[in-house]
Amino acid sequence: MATEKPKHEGRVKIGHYILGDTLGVGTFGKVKVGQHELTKHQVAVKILNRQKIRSLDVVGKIRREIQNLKLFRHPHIIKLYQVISTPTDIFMVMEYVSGGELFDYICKNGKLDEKESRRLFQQIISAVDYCHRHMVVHRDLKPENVLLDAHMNAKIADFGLSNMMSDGEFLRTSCGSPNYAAPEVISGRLYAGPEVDIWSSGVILYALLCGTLPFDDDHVPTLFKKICDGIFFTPQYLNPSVISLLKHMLQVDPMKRATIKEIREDEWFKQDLPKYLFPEDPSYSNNMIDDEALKEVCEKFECTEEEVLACIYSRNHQDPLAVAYHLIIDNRRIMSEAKDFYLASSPPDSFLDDQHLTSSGAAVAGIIKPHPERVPFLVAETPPRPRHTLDELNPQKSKHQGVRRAKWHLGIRSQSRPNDIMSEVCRAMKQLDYEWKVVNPYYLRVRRKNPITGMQTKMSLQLYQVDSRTYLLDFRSIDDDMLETKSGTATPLRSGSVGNYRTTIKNEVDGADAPPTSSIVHPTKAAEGSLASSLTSSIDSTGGGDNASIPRPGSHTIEFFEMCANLIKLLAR
Amino acid sequence: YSSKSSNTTAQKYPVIFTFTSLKYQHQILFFKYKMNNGLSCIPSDPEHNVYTRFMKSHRCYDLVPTSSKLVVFDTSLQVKKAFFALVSNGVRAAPLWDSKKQCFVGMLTITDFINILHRYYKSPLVQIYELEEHKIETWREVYLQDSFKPLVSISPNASLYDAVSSLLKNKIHRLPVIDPLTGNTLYILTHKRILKFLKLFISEMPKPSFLSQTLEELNIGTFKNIAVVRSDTPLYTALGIFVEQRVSALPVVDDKGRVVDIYSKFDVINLAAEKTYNNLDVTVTKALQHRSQYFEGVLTCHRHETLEAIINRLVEAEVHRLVVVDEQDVVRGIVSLSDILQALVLTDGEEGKYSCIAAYFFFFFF
Repeated sequence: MATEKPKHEGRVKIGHYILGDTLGVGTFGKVKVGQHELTKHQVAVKILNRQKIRSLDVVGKIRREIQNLKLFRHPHIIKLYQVISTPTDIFMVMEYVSGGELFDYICKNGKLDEKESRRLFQQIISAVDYCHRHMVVHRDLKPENVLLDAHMNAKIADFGLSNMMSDGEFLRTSCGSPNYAAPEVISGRLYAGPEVDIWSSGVILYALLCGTLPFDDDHVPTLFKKICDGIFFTPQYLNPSVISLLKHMLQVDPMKRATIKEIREDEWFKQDLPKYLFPEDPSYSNNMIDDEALKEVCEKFECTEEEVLACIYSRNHQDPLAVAYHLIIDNRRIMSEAKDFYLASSPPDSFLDDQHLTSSGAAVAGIIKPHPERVPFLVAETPPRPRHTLDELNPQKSKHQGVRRAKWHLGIRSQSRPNDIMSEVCRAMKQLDYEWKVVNPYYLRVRRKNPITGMQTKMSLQLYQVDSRTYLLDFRSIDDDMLETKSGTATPLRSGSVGNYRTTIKNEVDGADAPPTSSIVHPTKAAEGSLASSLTSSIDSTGGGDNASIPRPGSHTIEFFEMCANLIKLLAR
Repeated sequence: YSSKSSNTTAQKYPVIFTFTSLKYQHQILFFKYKMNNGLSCIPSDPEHNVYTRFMKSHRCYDLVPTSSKLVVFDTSLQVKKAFFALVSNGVRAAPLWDSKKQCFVGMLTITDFINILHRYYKSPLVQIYELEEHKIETWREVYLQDSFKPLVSISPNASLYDAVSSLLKNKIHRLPVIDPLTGNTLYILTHKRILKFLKLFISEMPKPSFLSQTLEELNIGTFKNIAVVRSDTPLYTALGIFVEQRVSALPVVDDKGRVVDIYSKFDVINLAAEKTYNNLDVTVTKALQHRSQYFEGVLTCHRHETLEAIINRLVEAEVHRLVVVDEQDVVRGIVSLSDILQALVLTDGEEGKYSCIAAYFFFFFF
C-alpha cells in the first residue's frame, strides 16, 4: 500500500483527487496514485498525453470507446471510474490495487507452482474472454499489465487503450517490450485481432510456470526471429498437458492458434476452475430490445434511440453504441442473478424485413400503397418478399435508419486449410494469366490486363476466418488509378460529384467502411449553383461536350466481376 | 452479371451490384406551346423557358439515386433465364454486356420478351423453342439482322436536356447512364424519373402560364387511331399490336367504346413471373387477372383538364400514361409521358416555327 505523501504546495488536483507519487511509467504515459480529498479513497490516475492518441478522433470515437471502458465490470479487470480530459491530457481515474505488477512478483519470487499459475491464468483468460466478447482487444498484454490485488488475484490493466493509438504509434511504442508480442504484430501487420491476446496470454502462462520468458534475447533482431519461428524451450518439470496448451497458444500461424473456446475446453485449464469466471452463456438475444439499457446508452452517449437501434439491428457489434448496450445488459446479469431482464418491448420481427426499405413515398405518409406497375413475383419463389419498387427517388427512405439490408459478399467459402486455399487460388490465377503481389500469405493484390480493352483491372483477395472451420476468400475491386483521372473533368461541381460517386461505388462494391461523406456536395448548395448557372450561362452547358474526352473502353466494374467469375469458375471445377 | 457456361452456382444467377452515388433533387422540363396552326410558338410570358434553362443546367448525374439496383446480363445468358432474372430482381430492363467485345452492346427489356413471344408463338401445345433455347446473343442476331445499332447511352455529365432529347429521338424508354471514366453503367434513366424530378421542384420555380392551359388548348396527346382491345381479345393479338404499332399500352373497351381496363407492355412480364407464356390464346381479361388485388382502376383524364393537373396525376400515380376519355368514359385519346416530353422538348421558343424538323440541337444556342 503506497503511503500517503502529500506534496506540499504544488499539489495537483484532478477532479476530487489529489495526485501523489508516480506508480509507474507505461506505454501510454505516467500512472500516479491519487487520493480523494474527502474520503481518502485511493485511486490510480493514468495520464494520457493527447499527442499519443490518434489525433483527429478525440471527440467522437475515442470518447465513446473510453466511455465504454467505464462500463466494463469484471472481477479481474481494473475498473475505470472516471475520465477527465483537458486540452493536453486525458486523465483516467482507475481502481487502485496494492499488490503491484505480476512482473515484479515473478522477478522477486521466481516461478509459481502449477496450481497457483493455473489459478491466475484462469482469471486472466476469463478477463480476456470478457473483453473479447465486448469487442475490445488488449493488444499489449504482458506481466507488467497484469496487476495483483491484496489477495493475489490478477487484475488486468490497460484494456482497450492500445486500440486508441494509431497502428504506427502502437508499433513504435511497443518495440520497447516485444517479448510478448505475437509474430503478426512484430512483423508489422496492421491487423491485430483477438489472436494476439491469446499469444500474449500464452507468454504470460509460460512466465508464470517457468519464471522466464519463452522468447528472449538481448539482440532485438534475434528476438524477432525467435518469435517468428515460434520455437521455445520447454523445461522438463513442465506437465506435458500444459506444454501442449502452451504450444497451441504460441502458434505462429494465427489461424491455427488456440481460441478462447479451445482453451476453455482444455483439460489442464478446466481443473479447479471456479464457476464465477465463466457464467452462463452470455449470448444475447438479438430479437429483444432492452428498453432500459437502450435509455441508459442514450443518456450516457447523448444520442438518439434510433442511432443505437441502427447499430444493433445492423449487427454492427464493434460500434461503441452497440458495445455499450450489450455491456449494460451483461452487467446487470452478472450483478443480480435474475434471469428475465429482457422486456417484452421488442419491435415485431417484420421490422427487419425488406419491406420497409421498399416502400415508396407513400410509406412515409403512413400508407403503403402498392405500386400499380410493381414487378410481379416469380412463382414458386416462397415466401414472396416485397421488393424494391422501381423508383428510388424518395429521399426520406435513407433516413430510415432502423433497418439496413444484409450486405452482399463476393467471395468463396471453403473448409479447406487456409494454406491449401491460397495455393489453390494461386494455381488458378496462374492458369488465368493473372499477376499478383503477396502482401501477406492471406492477402494478395491481383491484376490483369484486359487483352481487348488494354485496361488494367485490379482486385485484392483477403482470406477471412468465418468460424473454426470455415474460411471466406473475399474479392475486392481496386480502382486507385481512377482517382487520378478524375481531376481531368471540367467543373468543380462535376468532378466533385463524379468523384464522390467513385468513392462510394468503391465502398459498396468493396464493402469498405470509410464513410464517403467527406466529398459529398451539399444538396442545396449544388442546387443553388446550378440554378445560378442556369440563368447566366447556357452555352457551356449546352455542348453536350463531355464527349470531348475519350470514354474508357469496357467497364471497370464488369471487368472486375469477370475476373472474379473466371477465378470462381476455375476453382469450382 | 452472369457469365458463360452454366455449371457453377456462381453463374446461375446474375450478380446484382448496388451502386451508390450522390443525389440531389431538381427537375426540369420543356414545354411547348402549340398554336392553332399546329406549329408551336413561344408564349409571351417571360417564365416560359424556366424549365428549359433549369434542365440544361442539370446533369443526368443529379437523377442517379443514392443507391439502386442494377442488373447486367452477359449476352451468352439464355433469354428465358434473363427474363426470369428481371422478374426476380424486380427490374424492368438490364444492360447487356458482351464478354467477347468487352463492352455494353444493348439493353434487354420487356419489349424483347414481347417480340420473342409474338414472333415464335405457335400454339399452347407447342413449347416456344426459341424462348427456351436461345441465348441473348442469338436473339439479338435474329432481331437485328446484322443491322448494327450501337447502344444508346448518356454520360452522367450530360444535361437532362440531352437525356430527354435522346429518349425522344431514339424512341426509347430506358436510357443507361454510363460513366465515361470507368465505363460503368450507373443507372437507367426513364421518362418517369425525369417527370418525377420535375414534380419535386415545380413549386419552387416560377410557374409558366401554359401549365394552366388545357390539353385541348395545348394539343398535347394522341387523339387519332388509338389502338384499343376488347376484353375478349386474345392475348396474342394484343402482343401483335404492341409489336406493330409500337404503343406501350392498350385501353380495354366495352361495346360502347368505354374504357374498362388497360393492358400495358409492362403487364406482359407477368407471363414470365407466372410462367404462363406458353398459352397466348387466352383473353386479355384473363391475362390481367393477376393484378386484380391491387389494381386501382384505369387512370383517366379529360381534354379540358390543365397540363398541371395531368402532370400531377401522372407523377402521383407513377404511371406512364393516362387515357383521355369524354363524359361517357369513351376513349378519346392517350396522353403519355413521352407525349408530354415530346411536346415540351421538340419545340420551344421562336425556333419552334421552323421546327417540325425537330432539330433539338438548335436549342442549345438560344
